[in-house]
Amino acid sequence: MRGRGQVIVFGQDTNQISHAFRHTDVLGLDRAEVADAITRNLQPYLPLPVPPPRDFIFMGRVTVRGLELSYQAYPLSEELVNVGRITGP
Amino acid sequence: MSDASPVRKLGPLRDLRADELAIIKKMLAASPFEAKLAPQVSAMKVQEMPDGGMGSIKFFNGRPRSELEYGKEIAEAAFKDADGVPVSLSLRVDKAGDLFELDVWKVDFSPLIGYPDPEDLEIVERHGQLGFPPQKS
Repeated sequence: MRGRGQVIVFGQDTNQISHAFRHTDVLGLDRAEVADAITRNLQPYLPLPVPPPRDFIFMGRVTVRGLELSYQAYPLSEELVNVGRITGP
Repeated sequence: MSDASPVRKLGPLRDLRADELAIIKKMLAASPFEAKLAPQVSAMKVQEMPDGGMGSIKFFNGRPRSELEYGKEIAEAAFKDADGVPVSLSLRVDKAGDLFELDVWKVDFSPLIGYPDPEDLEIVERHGQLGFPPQKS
């Protein structure tokens, strides 16, 4: 998924994608829907600065099907933002 | 993106390694749960989570626990791995307030090389703020 020049990635392989979505999977949420909500939520902040302040990760919050989720993102480059952590309520 | 949830196999039960224990103790010390959880942590068994070698571990409290039992994060920390890539740590408890997991995210998704000396671990305090953590005053 791409937003304002930075591609948003949720893991590099099946295990890592499953790891990132494990909390939302058990809530019965569709991964594509969660990823879309996060991508849309990130849009106003893109491009995230590289490197980010103090090299810390960005935290955002979205609501999907009435459930509030937190996510964490890191701008690895001017082309790539990794999202590696999504947690449910 | 597939919605299929492959079987996520945890690793075998094992003791915490000394480097993991040191990191977790520092994170507990920064949390309101230290008095309750610090005395238990040394004896707890853990299982490695299938995260591509980043080092996430699930605490075992005598029975399998579903992700649905996740409660909340009690401490966040950060450090740079030996290759300079930032690593984020999130220590979590279950809904009963027992240690649940240590989620490790190396931001480029590569395997963790190793934990730093606890002195080099920075506790991240967000105070509920979204975005990047506030600058230290």
